[in-house]
Amino acid sequence: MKRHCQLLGMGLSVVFFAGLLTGCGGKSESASTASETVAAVESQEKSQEESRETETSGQTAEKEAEKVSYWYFHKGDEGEIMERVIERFNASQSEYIVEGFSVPDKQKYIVAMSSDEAPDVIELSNAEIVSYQASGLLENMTAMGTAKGYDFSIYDMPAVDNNSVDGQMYGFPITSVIIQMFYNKDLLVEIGETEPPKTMEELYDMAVRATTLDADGNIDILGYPLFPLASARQELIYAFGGTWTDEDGVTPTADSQGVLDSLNMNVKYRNLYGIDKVQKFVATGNTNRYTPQDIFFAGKQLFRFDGPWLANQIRDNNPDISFDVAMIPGTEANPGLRGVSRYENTSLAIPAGAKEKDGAYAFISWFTTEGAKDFLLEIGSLPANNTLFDDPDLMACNDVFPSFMEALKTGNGVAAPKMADAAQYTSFIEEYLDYVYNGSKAPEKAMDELQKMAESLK
Amino acid sequence: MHPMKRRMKNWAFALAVLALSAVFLSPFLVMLTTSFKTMEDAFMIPVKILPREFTIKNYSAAVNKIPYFQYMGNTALITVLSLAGELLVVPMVAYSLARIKWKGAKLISGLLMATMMIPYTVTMIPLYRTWHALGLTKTYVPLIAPHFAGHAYYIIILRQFMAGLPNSLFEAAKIDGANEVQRYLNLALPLCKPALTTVGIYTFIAAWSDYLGPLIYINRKERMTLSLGLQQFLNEFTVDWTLLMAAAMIFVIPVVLLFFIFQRNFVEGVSTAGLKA
Amino acid sequence: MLLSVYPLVMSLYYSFTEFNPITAPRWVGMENYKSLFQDPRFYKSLGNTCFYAFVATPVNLLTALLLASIVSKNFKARGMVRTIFFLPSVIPMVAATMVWIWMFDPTYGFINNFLKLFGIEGPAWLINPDTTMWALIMMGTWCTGTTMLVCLAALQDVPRSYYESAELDGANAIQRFIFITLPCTAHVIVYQAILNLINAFQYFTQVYVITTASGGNTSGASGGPENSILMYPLYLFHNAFIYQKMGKASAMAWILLLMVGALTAVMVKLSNKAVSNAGGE
Repeated sequence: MKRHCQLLGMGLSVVFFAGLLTGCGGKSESASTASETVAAVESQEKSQEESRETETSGQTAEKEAEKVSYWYFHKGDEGEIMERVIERFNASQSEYIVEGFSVPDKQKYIVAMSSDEAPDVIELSNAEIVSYQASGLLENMTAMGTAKGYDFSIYDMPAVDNNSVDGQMYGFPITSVIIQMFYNKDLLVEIGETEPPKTMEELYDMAVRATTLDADGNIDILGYPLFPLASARQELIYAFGGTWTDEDGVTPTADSQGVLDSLNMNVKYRNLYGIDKVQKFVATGNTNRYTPQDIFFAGKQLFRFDGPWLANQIRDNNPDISFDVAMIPGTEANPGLRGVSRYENTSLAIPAGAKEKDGAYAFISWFTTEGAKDFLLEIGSLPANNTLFDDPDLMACNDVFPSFMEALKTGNGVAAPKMADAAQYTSFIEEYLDYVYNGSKAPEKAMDELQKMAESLK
Repeated sequence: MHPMKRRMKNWAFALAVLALSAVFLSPFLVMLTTSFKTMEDAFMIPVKILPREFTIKNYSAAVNKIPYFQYMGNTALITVLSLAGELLVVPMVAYSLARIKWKGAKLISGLLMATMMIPYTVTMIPLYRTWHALGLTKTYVPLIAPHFAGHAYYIIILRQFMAGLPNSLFEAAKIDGANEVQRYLNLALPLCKPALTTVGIYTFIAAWSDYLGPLIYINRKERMTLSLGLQQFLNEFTVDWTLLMAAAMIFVIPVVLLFFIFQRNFVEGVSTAGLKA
Repeated sequence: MLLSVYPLVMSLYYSFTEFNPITAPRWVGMENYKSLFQDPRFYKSLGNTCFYAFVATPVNLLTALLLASIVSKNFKARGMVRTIFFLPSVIPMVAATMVWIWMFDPTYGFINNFLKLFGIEGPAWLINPDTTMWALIMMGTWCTGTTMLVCLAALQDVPRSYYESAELDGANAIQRFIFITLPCTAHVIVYQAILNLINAFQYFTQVYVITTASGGNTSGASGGPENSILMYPLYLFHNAFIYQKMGKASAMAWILLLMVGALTAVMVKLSNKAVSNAGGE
């Protein structure tokens, strides 16, 4: 009897494992439902293809268009803007049909690449171009573009540099990101100033005078531009001549004088009002960023280092605020640093395993030239293509674009670290700045440790 | 007990339940009320719990921004099939591990637990490659089929319940001539109704709100699930809080209703009733 | 089982290689393990995860037991209360975490506004590195509904006659809990504790959402302020998908497997003894 039980137990398990071994396709139930699902989906796809084909049938009479898959990270409304770009491309020619898909997490890119299911075009940040190519995941765009007669002169040096590894471009940029100084005019008038500061020393002085506290000692108006966090980590450092790497983009310089000067001033301001109070204010600023109660829109922030999108957000949320834009200050010792900012791109790249590389190239080359302007107008970003730097329509689409374009033309943006382990370095920087901001480590000590950590990277 | 004392006790109990309910309800209430607020209201200072101006605009926007009902249909399809898989397989395996003595049962239990200790992050690519080799990566199969293998977590929970069932009942059934299958179907399954309900609810929620699976395996808009759709409300720079809360509310309501219906299954087990005598 | 064991084995193999999604893995021997043991973040993330696991697991379990013993009682609106206690667990994690980011806001957040009623000024929960971990533990406790369900199911198996006779003998609620509820549910509860502990070592989604939604991080690989909530699986994820070091990530996964496996084995042994002792009494 006992033996019988044992056998049965094994039997049950054997059935169970047999199911598993065949990836569960062995179980008739799941197999049939799965195939039904597949069939349903396929028929759906077919009907869509048909409808698409009828739309463009006029042009595709002789040859069937090749499909090009394109994965982008824009979501929601911005995703729809991307879809409109794709529609325009598909209408502009008959050789290829691009199919877009919004991918909210980039791990999907990697997983798909690992199994030879990479899409033909992917959208990445310039930092990701560098890190992906460090593993050899991307197609050489310089080689491809040269073979096909791409006009590389549309990119200024920083744009080329940002998307290059060992002198070869691995992505073509579609947008640029730089940061400028927004300031609240009313608050400036209140402290008796008419002109925005030209040096960080002036800025600090104004910031302290403009900062106000409520009865409990909580910050009511923040003078020093400690928010957004990303700007505090970048522009506030660059304004002092600090950078995270040498010009080669590879040698870390975390303990350089500029970085320390910046952090010491930052800490001085924090200590004036209490680290906890500052952090609390910044935390709330972060929760309601770009909402109607954004600290800048609500008149609670004097200086704000931010991108051009801030102007659109102000327009959408609180049109009453009186603000203007100026170049980010330099220092007394080095006024030539004025207008310094990060320079970043969103770029398009072709995975090394892409199937339809010609189509991918056709789409990217169209997107970065003919297609660029309409996209930028809709999404409200700055161009990477220098033929658009003076474009009147673009200038008109955002009140602050003229001054941003001006800064863009100077071409003195700071590129992100470009070592193979750049992503790791950036996250080290974030951690050590936290130590400084929270008062747990003095700037000198923190940067010294950071430098040592960074030197151990590749 | 003294009637007076008993009444006092009941009051204290009711108060404790009320306080705890408030604590557990609060985030949900925040979500609910925020979903009916305008953005201006949501960021009012001082903070008001109820919306100043009651709006359902967030809900209509949420339903219109993504093909809500299509995604819900997709999600429901995956969820129902996953549920069927788990409920079919998990009790069977659990029963064989708990109530049938066979060599290797311990090893299998150990392996099952090991599969839970390795993060999905590193198994994702080998797993994807397997499905790729089978040519099934662009279907729902990789999302559903693993449920027909039974999830280790549920198997172990259920195994513990089955192991805890009184032996006397099974002995008696054996004497009455019931074979293993009959004992499984007529004794073990009904006795584990509360535990089975638990597994069912777990599976439902896990499949309903699974994000990584659909992210990796779904390549077309028409086939996306709700949890993927929810991502569309998280923009790069801004969070549309009120819209997000409304979208989450619609996401959650079916699950809450289902739970409310099935929680009735958590009644005193037949086993304990039988023992009373 | 192939579906779960094959990837397991492959990840072991990858842990000895330099692995990149498109080229064949290159054997590097113990290199990945060596670099991990010299990596301060490896220890930091391990410490964070251990802290979370050993604090949150008992807190959650006790809360779950308490809630379950309440809703196993027969009273009006019992179904409603069960649903309320369970409610937080049905909200998809991404949305739930977003709600919590909202709740933890120092100015608008429900929690600090609630504390204000008692004159307490709450901290900037998710910005202050001293409080981030406690914020996570609070979140976890709130989501203890799933564990509550198992406890509830286990409680249904305790014969009511035991309680009745104990009550006749004059045992109070706490005594009844210790001498009847615990021993009668031990076979389930102990395993639930083990499973919860295993899960706590996999704790990922919530920190991932918090660190990515917080904005301002440029690396995409934030571990919260001062990396105070850089959990082991999160750091593993950073290695796999942001630093493109899948081999190192696989090595991390196997170290985790060995540690948690050993821990589980010890707990299973101990608990089997404890349960059989309890059963013997």
